[in-house]
Amino acid sequence: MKLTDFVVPEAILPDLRVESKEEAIRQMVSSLCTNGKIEPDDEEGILSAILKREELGSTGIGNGVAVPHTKHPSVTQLVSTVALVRDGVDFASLDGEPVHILFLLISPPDRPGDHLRGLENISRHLRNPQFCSFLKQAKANSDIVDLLREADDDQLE
Amino acid sequence: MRENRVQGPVTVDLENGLHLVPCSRIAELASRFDCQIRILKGDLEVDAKTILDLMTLEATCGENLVLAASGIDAQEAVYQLTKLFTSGFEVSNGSDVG
Repeated sequence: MKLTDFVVPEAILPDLRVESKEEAIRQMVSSLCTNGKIEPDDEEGILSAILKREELGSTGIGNGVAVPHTKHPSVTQLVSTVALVRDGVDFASLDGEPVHILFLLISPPDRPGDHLRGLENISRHLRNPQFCSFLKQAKANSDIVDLLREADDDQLE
Repeated sequence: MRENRVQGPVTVDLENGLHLVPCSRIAELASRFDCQIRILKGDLEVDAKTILDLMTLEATCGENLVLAASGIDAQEAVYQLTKLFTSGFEVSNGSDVG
């Protein structure tokens, strides 16, 4: 599985300006909806499922990274988008630091293996400092797509 | 003082595998110890104190892993982490979490 298999290029938000964690998640879900990856009728349900998941413990896992996610029956395959928040957003992260890089992931409930593989894939790249550094410098949607492709092809290490 | 090394097998007994919530619990518990703690899955070896590392294990339900700790409190670390695995992480297996 590759990042470019499930990250929706058109839904990437390279310069997300938000004041809160909830607003960040809302805009990312909305972007997936606008780009036809989730149905408008499911948007609120997905948003509330992701926020409910955050109540269990923040997906702000440190080093300026967050991976908000949920499983939802409205998707039949992994769907993800990326957002960059230049000034950072408070995510109640485990290390208390603001979040700059977000990967939002929605997985079909009946395929827990795919969910784990998606998280594995995202995590493997996010633990590469070079990937995170290049990602933070990306200005346009296309820069991020190129970077994801390079990461998929192991051209960053 | 002599280097204290302790190893022990654990099994992932979670329907949804080792997703983010259990990984966070492992990292949080492991970070309370001074010793180095690694988790092994076949040839793959990761730092038990780092969530991103743990998530790269992609450990599904029924997967066998090995805890390997070295340092002064290694014995207690392996004991406590094994307990976390056998208790089912005290996390929900619900379909909307992960």
